[in-house]
Amino acid sequence: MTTNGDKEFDGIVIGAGHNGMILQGYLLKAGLSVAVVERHLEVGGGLDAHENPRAHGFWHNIHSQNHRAVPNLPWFKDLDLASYGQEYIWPEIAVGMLFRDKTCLLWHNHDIEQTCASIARFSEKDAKTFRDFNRRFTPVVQSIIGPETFSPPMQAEKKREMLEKSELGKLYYEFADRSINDVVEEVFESDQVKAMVTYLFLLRGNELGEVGQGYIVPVACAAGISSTISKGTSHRMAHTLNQMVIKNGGEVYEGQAAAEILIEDGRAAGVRLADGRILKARQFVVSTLNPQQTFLQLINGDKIDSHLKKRAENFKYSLTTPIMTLHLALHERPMWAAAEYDPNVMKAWLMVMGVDSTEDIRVVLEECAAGELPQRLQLIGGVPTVFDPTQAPEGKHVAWFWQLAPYNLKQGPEHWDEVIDEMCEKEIKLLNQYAPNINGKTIVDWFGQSPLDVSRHLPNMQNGDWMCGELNADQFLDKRPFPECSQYSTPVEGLYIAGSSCHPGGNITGAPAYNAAGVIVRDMKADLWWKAPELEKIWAKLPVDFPA
Amino acid sequence: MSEDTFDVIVIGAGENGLVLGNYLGKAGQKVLVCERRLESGGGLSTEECTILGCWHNTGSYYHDTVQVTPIYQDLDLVNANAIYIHPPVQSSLLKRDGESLTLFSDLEQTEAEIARWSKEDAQAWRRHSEAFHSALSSHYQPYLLNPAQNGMGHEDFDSRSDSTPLEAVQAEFKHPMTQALLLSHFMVPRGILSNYEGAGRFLQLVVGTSASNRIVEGGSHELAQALWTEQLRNNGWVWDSTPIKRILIEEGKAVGVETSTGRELHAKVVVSTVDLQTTFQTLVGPEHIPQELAPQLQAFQLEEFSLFVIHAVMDEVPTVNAKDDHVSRALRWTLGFESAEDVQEHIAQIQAGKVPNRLGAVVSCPSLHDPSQALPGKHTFLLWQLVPSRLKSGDWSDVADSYAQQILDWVSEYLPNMKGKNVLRQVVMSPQDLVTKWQYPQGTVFGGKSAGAQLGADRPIPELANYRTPIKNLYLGGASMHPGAGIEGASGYVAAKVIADDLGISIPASV
Repeated sequence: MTTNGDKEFDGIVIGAGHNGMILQGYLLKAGLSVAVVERHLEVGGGLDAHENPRAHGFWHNIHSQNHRAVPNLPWFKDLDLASYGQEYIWPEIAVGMLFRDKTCLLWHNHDIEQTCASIARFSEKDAKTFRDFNRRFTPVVQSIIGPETFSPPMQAEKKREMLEKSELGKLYYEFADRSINDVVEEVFESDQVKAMVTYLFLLRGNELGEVGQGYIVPVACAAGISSTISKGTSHRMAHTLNQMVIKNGGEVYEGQAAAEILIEDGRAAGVRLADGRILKARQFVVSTLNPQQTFLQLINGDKIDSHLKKRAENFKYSLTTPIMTLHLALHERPMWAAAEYDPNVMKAWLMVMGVDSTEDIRVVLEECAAGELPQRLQLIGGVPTVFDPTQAPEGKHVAWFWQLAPYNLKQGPEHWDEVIDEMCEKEIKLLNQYAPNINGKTIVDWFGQSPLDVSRHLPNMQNGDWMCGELNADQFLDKRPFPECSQYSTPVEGLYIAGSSCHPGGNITGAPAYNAAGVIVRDMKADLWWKAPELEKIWAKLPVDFPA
Repeated sequence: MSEDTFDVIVIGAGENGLVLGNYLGKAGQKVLVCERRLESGGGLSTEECTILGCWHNTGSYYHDTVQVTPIYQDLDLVNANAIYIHPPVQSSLLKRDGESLTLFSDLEQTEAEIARWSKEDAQAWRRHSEAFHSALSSHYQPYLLNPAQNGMGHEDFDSRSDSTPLEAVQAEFKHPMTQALLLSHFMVPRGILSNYEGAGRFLQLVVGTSASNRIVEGGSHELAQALWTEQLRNNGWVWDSTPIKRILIEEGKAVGVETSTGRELHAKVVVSTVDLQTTFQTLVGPEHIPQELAPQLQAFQLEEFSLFVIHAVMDEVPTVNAKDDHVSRALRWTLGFESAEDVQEHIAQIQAGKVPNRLGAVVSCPSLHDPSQALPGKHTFLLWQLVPSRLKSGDWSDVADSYAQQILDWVSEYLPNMKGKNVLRQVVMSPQDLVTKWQYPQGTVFGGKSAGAQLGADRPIPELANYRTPIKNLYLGGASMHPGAGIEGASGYVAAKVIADDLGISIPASV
């Protein structure tokens, strides 16, 4: 029985970020009735874009920018997202590393030979290593990394036992048992190549010194960067997901914060909204928020045991993912000075400046750890309108640049409000060195966003950590967010988790949702209508020797 | 049917485009609505444009004709979470000396209030209000929800077909305050200036709707979300960030559209809800415009004014310099007009193409009525003033900031804390911004001048007044069409009706 606006569903999802909506889509198509609640008036979480209020027609992606191969991901196809008019653009060149001496290094999106040719201008040996990794690790990506990303993580010892029976698995562990830093130092000789690989994975949220992630280096050479851009801004993708949910009969409560996860007789029974209304869940509640929000803020402390509370309290946020963003509205696109060295640089999407060596990265990481504002600036960003003119008025451009920066400044995070503009001005000066046409005359408007702004806007990204939890060895794979919850279920009956705090982490992967959907549908004995990878079967069938 | 083939393609996901898409979808048609911008809804736009967490209605804000037509009930928008708030204190005209005239949602209260100024006007107000409501379903709804006609078969309406609002108001109301209040309601939100010929016919409509202003919980964009939610639930698709490059025309017939990325989408019917110039000059193309249409298109007149808009976020709720307590709770405050002469002086400056220094504005504090639109403890503020769409000399971008400051200084005479540290952040929108943001022609927001021949049976031009165009299967459905902007979704509804007739289907409708 429901009264006074109370409603009842099979399940409730908390948070309409991309994971929340993808999860809802899978569950709806499995025949379950599911509502999603979202505190913000616009759905999408990090898939957000704002029109510049001082320069109308210029749209700024205020959070997520670069999406990885989204049209190839299983949920994009399963949920038929192209039918919502969603288009993705594949830039020809994913990354352009711009160096201080006006040279550049280009990582192509598809063409490995072109990438190797660009690397060879810095080191023939590194180009050979890169090509060799590309060849040897392509089957690792296909058989190990890909299926693992889109499956609940297997318990580490069992995984090792299964994988080490094959040469592919041994090859994987040869690198997995080391850190990214160690592998990069060992396999590459050129400072620039080392800088490129290290910086890109730092910016993807990986922890460079953590043992267990070194496989990412050769895997990257095989999988590539696979950059794609959502036509019409990142928020267009939020609209697509929202429309998919509605088409499949789902309810979306925007502007409705969840105030409490209701626990009755030890099981999750619904959600109380901030306005007092109750949404009852006949079968399950899923939180896509971080563990502290889920277990400490939304659940009455009497209802869960102290061990689980302690786990949530100890969940750690990364010190090296927080970023500040410079947003620009421009009369013209940046003309990279490096075009003289390689004209193809004008076709690159993600532009990196100020990272000539791993020493540059070491310095900024030290500054982050010490809570200091970075002195040696490093930018990564892009100009979406080169690829998608709909994001600015005709002939005009928008650009964004990220700078790694600590959330916790020595003076406290609030200090960001005082220094953000000054930091932006410094960054504009740096940008001008790499693109001399970007100056007071060509800039229509600019504004900054600090790590503090990120956590204000998206509270699940606590301390500005957009990975929603550090990818350290204790919070990785089958230990993410902690072992008891790594399979997307929780010790509370009927309560599941599915956001970026789960395996495989942040970024627009949809994988936490995809994996949780399989778990929930099986638990509910509903229709598992899609073909999810079966990790055990795939890994059991790995050939003993290398594929021919 | 392939992914790129639809029954109906609608260009523009503003309110009219979505309403017409909804009706045709309910009639079983597979409808695609294409929107150039990222956000659907056109003027139904709510954005965090000052500080994150504070939402501002950057286009339409309050809606006064929601209950004049059955459209929202037909479309079941409440079920899609569009919830209207109807504040009891509706509209206050503030005098500089702290006196005021207020309209309430309750007619008794309004009558008593007007009687403080003029007993005769209070009686006239009741008479016209009751006349409007008794003729609503018999006359006004059929008039508003069918292709344009010259008369309505209703004496009060038809007898004023040649008068201006000023003449109509002065004939029926005696006190300068009542006159000023009514003329300001003609201007905002109807888009009708006091000297517009023939627009006096709307007197009873204006009286009848002046106290039915409603705002959407969470902001106007929530209504857009409800509309496209229902569109999707009814066999429809809404593709935003999908600019249309041209309408595909084969042998004089519209057969589809081409998007800016070169994708061709096909349909039996194409409807444009964007302005006439864009529809014909850009999307149809001059080569397809019949000879007899060209001079009529040229003669079509836009209104000569646009809006100057200020959004601000405030640390405290606005205080109002008014003797009566209830004034501080009004949804709408009208400043600067204490008599019909004040209105006329203001309008004369606009019509002369000058930046008006005779100020007159409508202001509101949306978060006072819907706290969800601001961060806890903060307040949102909105100001609209009519200004010339094109200045005789100079450019809006040169004067906008200093003009905004001049206006805010003046506003603080009425709302004393609307200055200094209490104003945390402000955003100014000049007519030029309305062009770049929505591509409104010259920043005009009302779809064409509501005067003379552009009222009634010839709106927008005789050749297009029945919503059909000389190009077969191409229809029109935006604010340029009868009954114009501001009658929520009505022209979209009428377009749906005309198209349904031509397709030999019927749309579900209570009118």
